[in-house]
Amino acid sequence: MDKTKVPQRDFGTSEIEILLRKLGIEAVDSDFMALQQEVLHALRHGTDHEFTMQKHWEDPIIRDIVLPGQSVVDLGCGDGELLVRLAFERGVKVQGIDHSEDAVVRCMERGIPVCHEDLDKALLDFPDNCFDYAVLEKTLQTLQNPLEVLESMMRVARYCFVSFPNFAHWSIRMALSYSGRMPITGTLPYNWYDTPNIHLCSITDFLKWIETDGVQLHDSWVVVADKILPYDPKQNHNIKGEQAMFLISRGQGKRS
Amino acid sequence: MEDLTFSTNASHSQKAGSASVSSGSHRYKSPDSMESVGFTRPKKMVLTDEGHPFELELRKNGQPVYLRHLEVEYETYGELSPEKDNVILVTHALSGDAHVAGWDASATETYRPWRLRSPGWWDEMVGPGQPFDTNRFFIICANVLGSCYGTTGPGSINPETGKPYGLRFPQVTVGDWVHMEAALLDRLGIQQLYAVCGGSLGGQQALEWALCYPDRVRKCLILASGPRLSAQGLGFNAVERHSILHDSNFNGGDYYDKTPPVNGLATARMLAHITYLSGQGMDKKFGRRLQEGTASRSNGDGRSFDIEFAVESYLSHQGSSFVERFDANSYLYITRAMDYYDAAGKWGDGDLVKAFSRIKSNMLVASFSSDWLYSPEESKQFVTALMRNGIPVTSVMLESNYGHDAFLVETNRVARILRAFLLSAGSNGTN
Repeated sequence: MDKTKVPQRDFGTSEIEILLRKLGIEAVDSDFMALQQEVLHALRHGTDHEFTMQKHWEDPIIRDIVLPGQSVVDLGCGDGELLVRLAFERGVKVQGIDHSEDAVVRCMERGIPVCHEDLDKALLDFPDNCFDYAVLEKTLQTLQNPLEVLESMMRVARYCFVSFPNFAHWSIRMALSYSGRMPITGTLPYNWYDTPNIHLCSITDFLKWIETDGVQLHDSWVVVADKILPYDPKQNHNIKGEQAMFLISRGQGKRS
Repeated sequence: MEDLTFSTNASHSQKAGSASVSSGSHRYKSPDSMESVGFTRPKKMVLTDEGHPFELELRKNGQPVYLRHLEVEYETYGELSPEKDNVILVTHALSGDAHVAGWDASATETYRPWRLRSPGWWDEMVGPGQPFDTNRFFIICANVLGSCYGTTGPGSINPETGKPYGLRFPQVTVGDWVHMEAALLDRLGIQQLYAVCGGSLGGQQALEWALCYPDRVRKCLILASGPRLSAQGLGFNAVERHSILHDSNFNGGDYYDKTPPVNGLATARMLAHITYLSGQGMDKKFGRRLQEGTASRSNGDGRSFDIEFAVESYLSHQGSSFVERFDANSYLYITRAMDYYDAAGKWGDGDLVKAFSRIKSNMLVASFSSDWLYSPEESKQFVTALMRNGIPVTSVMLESNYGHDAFLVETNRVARILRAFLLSAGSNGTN
């Protein structure tokens, strides 16, 4: 992989402070010093910002919320890691959907009902409200028609978990600003020409969509370094958050 | 094509030599292979007796139609468990038979000689350690009613006349096949099927099992099939039957003591074979290549309607080897049964969603990208109708160039899927 390196030179701490302020980070932030050190380290050693949180950080959160006997459809379920535990540990009724033959076979072996479908079209045939939850883990940015899929999810399920990498994370901003090249990071480990991530967005972008489209937001989780925090607009989460997950629904109001 | 070659004795290899036009060399599991079921022998059972005829689905002038005598030919592999809970019913396609796997010990140079040259039609799938694992499952397959491989059909003797039925044989349906299999299982003391699995017309039969006997099927595996045949499929069947019906030897179906309508049947098979392949698959396999030892006359050196292209040779071989082993009347009856099958019409007043509300089995639907007889779109109808009933469904679409035949040719990938689905415990408490 051709990792994007920031040109290595000696940055002063005041330089970083100015930079962070330009990015919009407030000095009152209690994490300011820590972030400053982290950015400094990244700049001195290139932007190989590693994602330290476990890969399926969303799964335990989802497992805690979904109740036994409820139903879940996982769009882009991969090898069925989330669903197999929901089904066998929590007695949840599950349905997986994935576009990869290998993933589908692995789900079959694990006893997970799974459909081998193009994710953009997969939900079109499902009836309204046939699941309690729909899950879209780190898949939104790979869809051809992300908004149509989100709309389908909210139609077929009462609630939807949607997680994605935050393209406005400081490591990505730095990589693009300093190297002038497409960022390659722990969460987005691809070259511009082979990335499946065609519709990236930031936390702010997603929240803006929620607001303008009248979507109901029920809960939020943002990965900041090694912690999972509820989204807080005062905490620069659109800069510090590496990934985020939101629990959304179409709500009762707009539904007829 | 898979690389397959095996011959047990000289007579096999001689015959195989003449078949080299078809699909390259074939390697089969030998009967003494650890993965083979070895030598097999067909079994027979009479399902009717005095006062208990077999009632068919289709009525005539409002009156029920019965077969006074129904004998079924079937094969089994593996051991039936004491609880009788390890049974897999395999359902065969249009031209198939009960001989799914192994080498038929009863075949001779004059009785089913083709079985000397190749094992059962799905030999790769059945045996110790294979997807239909004979170490744990009891596999059973019955030749369908109306066929010509040992089960009562138009070539059987009509007890009313003492002569072969011919076209006096009543029209049979996919439903009749399922009822016949159920009657056979009843006599073997088998209440529940661990699984029913079939491809193509066999897939429709597997579906009919899940619809007709929802409580008797735990897992239903449907490959390269659809809830009904498309207009295009009906059209192909019509042309195939036309070619048989208009063969000068057809004689209204009464040809059993004369020359049978081999030209018509061979033509039907040649056309059918094209529908089993795909355009890109044929291009890859044959292209415009000339048959070995043939010079094209396209440069103007005379004219010939003899076989020149490799694809002509292949189809011609498919046609001529088919007439050796199949009965033209059976072809008429079975393609008609295929035409008539319509799961939505039969079980849901035309609504597939309503029809599928009966299903209690775990369902697997596999389709193949280049299959234009039962396309992935047809299979999608299964998936949609199941989803609309809130029934968990497993579907897989394999990218393949082999067209409809892919379900028999893509051995490794199909095996992987069957194995995964058969062995999984199943979530949602259905298993």
